[in-house]
Amino acid sequence: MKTMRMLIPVFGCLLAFAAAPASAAKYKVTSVADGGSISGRVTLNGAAPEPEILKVDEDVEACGGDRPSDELLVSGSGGVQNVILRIEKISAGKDWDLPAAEFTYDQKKCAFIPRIMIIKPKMAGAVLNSDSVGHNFHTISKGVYNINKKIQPGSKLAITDKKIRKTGMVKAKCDIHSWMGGAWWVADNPYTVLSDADGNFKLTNVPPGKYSIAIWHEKLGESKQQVEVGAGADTKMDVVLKL
Amino acid sequence: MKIRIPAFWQAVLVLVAAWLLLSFAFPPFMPRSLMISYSIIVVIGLLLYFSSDEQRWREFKSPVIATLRDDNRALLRWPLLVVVSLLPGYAVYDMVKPSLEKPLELRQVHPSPPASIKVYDKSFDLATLENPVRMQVLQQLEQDEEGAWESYREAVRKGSLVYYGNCFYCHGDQLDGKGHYASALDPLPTDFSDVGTIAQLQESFLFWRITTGGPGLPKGGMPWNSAMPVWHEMLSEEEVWNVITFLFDYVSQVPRMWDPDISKSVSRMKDSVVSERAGMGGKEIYQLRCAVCHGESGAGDGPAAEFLYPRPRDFTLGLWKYKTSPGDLPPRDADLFNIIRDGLEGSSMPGWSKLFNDQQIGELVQVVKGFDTTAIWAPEDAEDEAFDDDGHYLKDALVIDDEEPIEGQVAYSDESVALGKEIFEENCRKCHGERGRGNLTSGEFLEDDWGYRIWPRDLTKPWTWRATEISTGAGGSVQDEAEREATIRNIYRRVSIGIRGTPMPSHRATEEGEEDAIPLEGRWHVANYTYSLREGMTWPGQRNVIQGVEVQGELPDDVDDVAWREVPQSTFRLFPNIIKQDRLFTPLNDAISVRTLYNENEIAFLLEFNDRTESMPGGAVMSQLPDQDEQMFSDAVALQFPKESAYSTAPVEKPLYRHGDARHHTTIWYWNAGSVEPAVESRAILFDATGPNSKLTPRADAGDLFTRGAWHEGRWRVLFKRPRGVADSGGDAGDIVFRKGQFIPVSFANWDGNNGELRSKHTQTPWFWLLLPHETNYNLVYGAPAATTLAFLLAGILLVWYMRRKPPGLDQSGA
Repeated sequence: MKTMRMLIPVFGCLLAFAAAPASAAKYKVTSVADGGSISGRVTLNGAAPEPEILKVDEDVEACGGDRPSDELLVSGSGGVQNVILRIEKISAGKDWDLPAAEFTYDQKKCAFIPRIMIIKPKMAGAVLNSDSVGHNFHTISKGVYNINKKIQPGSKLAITDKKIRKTGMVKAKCDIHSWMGGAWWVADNPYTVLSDADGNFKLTNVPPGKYSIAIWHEKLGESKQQVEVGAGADTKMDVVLKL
Repeated sequence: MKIRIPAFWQAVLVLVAAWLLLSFAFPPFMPRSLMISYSIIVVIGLLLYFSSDEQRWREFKSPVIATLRDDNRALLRWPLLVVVSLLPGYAVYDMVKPSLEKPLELRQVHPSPPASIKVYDKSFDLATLENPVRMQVLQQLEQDEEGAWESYREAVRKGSLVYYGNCFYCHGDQLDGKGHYASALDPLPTDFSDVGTIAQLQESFLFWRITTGGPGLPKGGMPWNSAMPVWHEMLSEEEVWNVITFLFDYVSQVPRMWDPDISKSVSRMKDSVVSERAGMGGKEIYQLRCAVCHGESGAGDGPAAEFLYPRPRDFTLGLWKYKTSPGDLPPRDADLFNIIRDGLEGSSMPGWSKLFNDQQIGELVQVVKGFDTTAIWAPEDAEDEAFDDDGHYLKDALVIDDEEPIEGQVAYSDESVALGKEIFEENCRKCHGERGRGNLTSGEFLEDDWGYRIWPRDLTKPWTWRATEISTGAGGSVQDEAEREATIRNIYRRVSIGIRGTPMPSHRATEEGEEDAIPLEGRWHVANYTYSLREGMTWPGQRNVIQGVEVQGELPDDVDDVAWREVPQSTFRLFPNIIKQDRLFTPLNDAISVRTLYNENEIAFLLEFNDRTESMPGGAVMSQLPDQDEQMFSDAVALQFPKESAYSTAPVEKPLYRHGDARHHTTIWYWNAGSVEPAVESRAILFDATGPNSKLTPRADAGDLFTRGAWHEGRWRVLFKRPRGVADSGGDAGDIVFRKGQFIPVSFANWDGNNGELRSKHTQTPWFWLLLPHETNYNLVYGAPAATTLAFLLAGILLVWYMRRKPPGLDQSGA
């Protein structure tokens, strides 16, 4: 908890990954011929640290007791979950393939479900509250989506398709339950994926070419890797994050 | 036709005119004794004038004698006699009634400077000393005009940094003596924008006043009341001259100078600056007056920003706290306009209406909107080309017309307040605390959207609210119904819209499919309840003399004792110690209240102050709350009294109010909350203070000083109790004796351990007066005036009897 409370200028930290000004070139959907793919696994450069135990000292009944932090989730075999990998500066390519037309972001047992989520601009959605206590749903972003709204139990926050116009990072928190943390990445192109529970990821239908892949993890920060995709081929790209 | 006023009425008219002149035409602090002397002179003058001429004297006397004697005047005579007899009775009452008027302190505003001063290891002859920065600019002006102006601007710029790093907390953003800590000071900081101040003075006078500060004043300037620091300890010689140059530049005045040629050149430079500034547009005004706090690019990161809590607004991120547009819409232009015009109470943002006209303020609104990088004021279909690389929208910003609906206001009533309390308990308590003191019962560490620590508003202190409290009247606490309703509407807006960029959420649904977090009526109840939280608070400045209340028997040992309830409370503003290093710039507490009880032998003080956190290092919940950067210390509070021999009231003389001075020592009664880890009990310490530069000396034990402190729901209450002392001795340490009827200087200090406050980093007050009133002697207070009236009445009757028994015409022969 203490490390989270460092007075880091939040925006400095957001900006590193979120440098997508309003004037960024807009992505165009085209048909991709002979698309390749990039796949791999995200691991750590060492043993996974013991997760910090978050102290739940408010609304214990509704929230459940103390819990291990899920900020850094590492599988038994060392894969890192919730890493966002995306191709930088790609102006045209495949169509969006997000799982749903509208997103939902839930608050359950005083935790955000899912913790990390990828959405696209002009996407509508809702923030729910499945708990028996109210939450102060509060987002922090550089002009992407800023809201601070009390959401009562069973109630929701509705987000119309006009609200999220820019791309970039939106961090979510609740000012009543400070252990709650989450983030939305508003992607600027569909070549943006989240690593799964075992750290695996795959970017599909990528036009052949050389790319820079931006890799972000909530706790471990940002890094970049270069990769070349051949026509119709799968390119392996393993990622080792530094603790 | 000429109307001639009879002599008697001429005299009455002159008397009335003289009284009006004395009462209203002179400064209000003309001493009473002087007024009485002047009035007597006027009366004697009148009598001399009218008695100097036989004819005039007779004319003067005739209505008086007629009233006393004539049969047809009886109806006028007797009431007049009664009234005339009551007047001296009232005068006597005025003299003997119990007086709470504090000792008169007549301060010389511009005391005469000494011939020379010694600072920076040098001796400065004040008669010949000139501002070397200015002199150099003037010299340069003859050969290299552009270079001279460059040097001048550079000196002003450097001076401005000195000013905003050191002076503006008291003297204010506009140099008008209204800085955000000014209201805690008495006398108020000098208003440099008043042409009666620096424009009348030589720069050497300012150099003297700045470098030697309050302690450098002669007795007539009352150094013990001055908060002006001894700046030569903290600023270099060059910095002092730069800041002097800046002061004159800001207020467009020239210093008094003896050499007419030099004076003319300086005036010419000033005129040129004035005409240059007269034509400035919004952008230039912003860079000249606003950038020092809000930053050149509007990111809230000007050089002064780090010394301010709350920090100056960052205009780039589209997050605006106080607005009247609904939901997450950007503020309306009127919101920005009003804030610039009126300022934000409880922050360092002043209202600018004195310096800028409405058109200039309107331009500033556009400048401020132009700093946004989040496209909040750009239309949805704006082209990428309409933005620069930083995301600034380059075309005309949108104007927001939507206004948060203010409908269904629920009248302020006990029922509504009670309903509001329930909703508050459910929705607001976790941050604002059980009683609204902002004491975070959730124990969470709150941050604003920039990652800076932020505290929930103390809702019991409306004088700290921004853009919400509509207060007029003395101490701000007196509100008529319309003001109250308007204040409640503003609270309602905060509840409905939230305060963007902070943890304060909105509670009204703005999108389809949502429901209000608190329904319409409930929001009004909460607003009414929030308003009611001020009840029972004594606002700062309401009672400036602390009056002790005498009790028979034992004084209470407990902060909860019912005996305290009957005692009137005085509240004083605290200001942080920015006058002596190490300095504190961002305090959290701004006020302290005190009640005093005494009996034959002892005196007790109950100090009360709101503090969101019970700071005791190692404490369970609060150990989560300190900043990573700040260590947590124990909360503490102190009272200070002069030593028995170190003060007098006629004429007034006191020790310097921060730890006294070499010749006037003080005693400090200190209480510390202790800590949990390591386990340290709360404790009392007596300190002896011998001057601003000497270390405080703690006594081996606190001896007869009893203390007890308790923190509950965001408020400390700390009791101090000690024997009143024995007359004529003052004890071994020379401590003060608390005598009845004696005005005693007292000051206060407070350490908020959770705010990193320790040692010299604390808040404080200047000297105030404590009085243990004499018992009222009812025989004297009512007996003496009654006897006086009776005596006059009797004398009057005798006079009438005497006049009426004399045959008419006798007075014709002369007196």
